[in-house]
Amino acid sequence: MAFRKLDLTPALRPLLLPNETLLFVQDAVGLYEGRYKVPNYQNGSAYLTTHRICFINNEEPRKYSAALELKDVERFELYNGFLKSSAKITLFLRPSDPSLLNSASRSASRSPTYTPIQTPPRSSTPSQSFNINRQWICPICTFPNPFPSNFGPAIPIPPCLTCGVKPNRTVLDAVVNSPAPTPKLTAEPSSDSAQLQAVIDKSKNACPRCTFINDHALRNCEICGEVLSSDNIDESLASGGAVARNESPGPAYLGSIPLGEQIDSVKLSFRGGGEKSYMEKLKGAMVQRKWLLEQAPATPAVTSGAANLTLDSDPASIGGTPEVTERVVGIRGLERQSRNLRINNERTIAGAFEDLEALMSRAKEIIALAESFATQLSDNPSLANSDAKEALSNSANLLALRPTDFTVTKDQISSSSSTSTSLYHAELARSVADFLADDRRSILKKEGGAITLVDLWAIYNRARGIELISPSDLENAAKLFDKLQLPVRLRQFKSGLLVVQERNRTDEKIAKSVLAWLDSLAEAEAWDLETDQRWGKSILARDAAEKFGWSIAVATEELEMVEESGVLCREVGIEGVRWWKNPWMSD
Amino acid sequence: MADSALPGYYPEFYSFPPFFTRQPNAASWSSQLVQWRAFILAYCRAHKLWRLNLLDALDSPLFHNKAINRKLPLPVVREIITDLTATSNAEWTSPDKSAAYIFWRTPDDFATLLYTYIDDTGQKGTVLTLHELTDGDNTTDQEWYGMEQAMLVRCLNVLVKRGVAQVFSVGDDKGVKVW
Repeated sequence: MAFRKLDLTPALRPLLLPNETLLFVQDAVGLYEGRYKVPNYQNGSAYLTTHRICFINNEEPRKYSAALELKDVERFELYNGFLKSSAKITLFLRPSDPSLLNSASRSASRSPTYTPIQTPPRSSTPSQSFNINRQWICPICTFPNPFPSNFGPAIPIPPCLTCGVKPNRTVLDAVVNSPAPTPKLTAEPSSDSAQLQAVIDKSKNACPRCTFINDHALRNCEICGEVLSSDNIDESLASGGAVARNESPGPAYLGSIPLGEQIDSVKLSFRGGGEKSYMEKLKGAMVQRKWLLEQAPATPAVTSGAANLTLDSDPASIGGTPEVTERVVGIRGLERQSRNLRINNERTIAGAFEDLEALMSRAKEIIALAESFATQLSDNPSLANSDAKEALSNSANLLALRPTDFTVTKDQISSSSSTSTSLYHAELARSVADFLADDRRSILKKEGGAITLVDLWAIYNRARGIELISPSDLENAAKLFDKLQLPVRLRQFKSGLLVVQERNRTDEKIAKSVLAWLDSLAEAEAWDLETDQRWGKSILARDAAEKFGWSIAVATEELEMVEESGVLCREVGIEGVRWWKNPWMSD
Repeated sequence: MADSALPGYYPEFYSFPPFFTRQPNAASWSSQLVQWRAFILAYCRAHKLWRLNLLDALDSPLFHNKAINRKLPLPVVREIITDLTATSNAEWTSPDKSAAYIFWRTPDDFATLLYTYIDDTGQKGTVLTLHELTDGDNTTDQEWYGMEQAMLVRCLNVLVKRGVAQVFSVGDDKGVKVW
């Protein structure tokens, strides 16, 4: 279950999932499985993202690449290397027992720094299922965190998912000592409605937090995302949920790594150094655990719901002592007053975060909206003014831009490696190639298949917005296009003008298309001048630029290139150079 | 269009505007050069032009197609004439390359023609003045009729080199004796 298939972009970089960000790249890395080297996976680049570790082989990237989900990683350690053995990072994987995996991916509550734990399957221990439904409220930011499933005195406490501050152990202890929320709701039959609810709960899949009655098959509440009662989960686990995730879904695995088997550790061998910075970034990624964000409930209602729940069960969870409801004065009164104040503060903070989350969820919508604007614009023929159209779609594109898709910064590249600059340029080249190949922008298409390096520099930097790159970096990166076998290539015209163009765009193709165009021009109109009939129609570089969408500089260079091949000949006149079909070569 | 009215020695390309631009492409240029060479020689032959003054010729129909308003630039003309001199079809009259003799036949060919003419008319062994050869009443239908004297001397020198003629001065004029 460890390695997954990895999709690559045209430029042979890992295809990032939504919300996934590239953190670091290190080349000259080999892959070990347990103690043994994995054949064909010995020289490649190890990409670290917020979600995965991606290995891409240098020679045959499409064939030999694999991804390891960080959430499958139990813990990791650094081996510094000794004599001939290079430095390694060992990643210990979670046992790939399907039921355990389920709990890991769903509750996703374990901290990576835990020692491997021999937890029996969750469903067999009541304490496990008990913990699943629990949450502890961060005293700093009031975020309801999932309770660590293996909580115990010897286990270090995981930091809060939102603010990253480790809570006091007493906070978690309080949660353990307090009655579980699920039984609490059902076991308080103080009124008729509660009794009714208990009945409903038994038959239906009611949410313990918001009481919404969910479908049987769901494990998380549809409304608030709360994990539903463990009984239901176990039922669904028994009845097919587990089957779906069972063992090996064949094609997803890679042939040469024995994936059906259980791999308990994987090593990344850093032959070219760079393990220190990689380790650092890995540590950061494991602490941040960005992959949880996808599973975290996104709607703002959750926060408020959670906050309310906190307040409801407040006396137990905060003080741990039953609260006396009679009116008190003196020191107790003051204490109570300050507690009320604190509760109020919590509410305010929760409200504030509610807004933030609302903003975040809105951001996605806005991006989607902007994208739809962009497509509408490009489809709309009524916008005759191409400049305005371009400006509009540009701004829409910018709005929809997710710079993390393609930005490579120097700090993502190991500085300790001696080849770090060339690695940086290689990564930059890949990212530029991705940028150019991006369908949403289709820059090359707009530019007629070729773009001058200067224009590219401007557009690329504009798209990046921040972390701008220098022209020389871009030039160096562009020079690597060929070596990296990217779908674009750098071409130098006779005059020294550098353009980036699609790889499959050859001189012959251009010459052919220009010739075909000239022929069609000659046929299209009946010319009253005899000369024009015999010699065809002549064009200016400007006409070609208009026809093929090139910039004038590119058009001139292309036409000169075609002339070089003998298809065209020139006529230097007062209005500039006119181009004619070359009659001398056709003889 | 005046094109159809042009005499036969005008090349087809005379109406092709790029013909009046020196092509940078080497292959195109070599074809273009061949056409220009042939055209210049044919034009001079038809017009009995022996000496081409470049500045004057630039405005003549030779280098200036008024119908399409295209003119061959002076440097290109010079380049073509220089190419002609390499095959003895032209000779600069002065080092500043402002004018050239145009031999639409090479001096060798003219020499052979002259020799045949003198032989056919039974004038071997007699002294002929150059004026007689170029402007005499008997040579009006000969190709070299009207040829400049300097050019004729150049041709006769070929015969001298072959050892069948001798050139000498007769008063102001020059004489030649072929045997």
